[in-house]
Amino acid sequence: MDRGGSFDNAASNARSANRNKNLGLRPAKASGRPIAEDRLLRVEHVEAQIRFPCRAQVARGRIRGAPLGWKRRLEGPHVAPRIASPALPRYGLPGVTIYLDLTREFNAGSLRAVICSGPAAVLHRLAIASKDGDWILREDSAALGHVLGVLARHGARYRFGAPLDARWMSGGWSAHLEFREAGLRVRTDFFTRPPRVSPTELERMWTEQEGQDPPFTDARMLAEMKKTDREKDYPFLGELARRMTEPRDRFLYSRSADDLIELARRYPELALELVAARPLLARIAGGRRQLLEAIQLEMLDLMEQNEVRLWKYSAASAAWAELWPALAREIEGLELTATHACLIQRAEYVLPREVSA
Amino acid sequence: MSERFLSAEDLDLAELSFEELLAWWDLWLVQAQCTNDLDEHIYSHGVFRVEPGFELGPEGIRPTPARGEGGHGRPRLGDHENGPALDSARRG
Repeated sequence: MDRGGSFDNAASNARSANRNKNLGLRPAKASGRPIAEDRLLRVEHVEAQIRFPCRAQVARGRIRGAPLGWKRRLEGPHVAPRIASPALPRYGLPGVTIYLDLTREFNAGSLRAVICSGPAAVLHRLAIASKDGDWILREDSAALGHVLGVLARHGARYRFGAPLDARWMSGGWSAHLEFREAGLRVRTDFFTRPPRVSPTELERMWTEQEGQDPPFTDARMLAEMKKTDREKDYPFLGELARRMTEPRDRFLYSRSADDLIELARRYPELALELVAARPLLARIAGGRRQLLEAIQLEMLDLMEQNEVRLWKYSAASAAWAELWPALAREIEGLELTATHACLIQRAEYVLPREVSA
Repeated sequence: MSERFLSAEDLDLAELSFEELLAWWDLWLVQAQCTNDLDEHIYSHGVFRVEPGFELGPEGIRPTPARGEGGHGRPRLGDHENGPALDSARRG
């Protein structure tokens, strides 16, 4: 099981690295100042220390006096597009918003991509803990072809993974591409069948996210996707449950014994009704200690289930992995569309489309 | 026993305007680039964990030892046919 070691905790590593380099980042301890002001000062401080004066000016200029609300379309001046086409409105800040700008490019003309996983956690204001972009894509050739075209314009290359093609995506595989832009490593991860999400839920997501900017998965879907084999994902799940408004959802996702006990006091019939869906709810009557133990055991079970799921994909892709180093040399320097065609041709013989349940 | 899940810094995110959130995310990502070498060969999402030729262990990522050099190598078809052991199954 992955306990979320420091090697893939970018936030922790970034802080550690900055400490090591004596960049002088202030601790995140809350001060007496209003939170937003405190964070702005931290932003300025970080900027000064890591010597990005231009970025700092941009950030400060945009932050101050910009009463922009949650999920509202941004207005005002935009920086020049990073690429020549297409002519889409930009979020206006360089850097991480590449993921939001990409989302707009993916969705030009129609909804094809919904932000999920780490970036969705940011948009839910849970935490900033992922360097990569993750999207659920529509599972049709035209949508996938459009996304691939956008990535080709950015100069993306394939990492080891499945081809971005509906034949493999429909089997639950993921595709991974990467490019560099404005000094950033931009990683893009794609699924059409996210784990633990039913077709009905997926269909509901496409309906609900139509017209949203940016489109991102709701709290329940994000919670399902956070049921990974990494222990570090479960605190996000616990906090996410506290943001849910429906008692039913909080019963199904809460990781707080106190919260569950309080919910059961207020909605005793609903607690009983949901025991079949979440067996640990039966432990509420046993008291806080029993419930805490059940919550931990449930997490271990979920981690193991995901571990088994990933193991099956690992076993199914063993021959593909064996072939990859030679294939990588073969596709080096090719345009993305040519690379894509080559990968499909090879994957047909080596990478099974379906992985047994 | 505390049932706080996230840090004060994370919880502060709820107080930011959307534009402030983007600016903070932007800065975080710039800083996080310093770990690119550490996660170059691993995946944070999807069904893959590591690139071919590498494996994850308790101490992080390392090149897969060649067979016959004391390592068991990357999982191959036919290896571990029953998959990882399931403690949940043992618990019933």
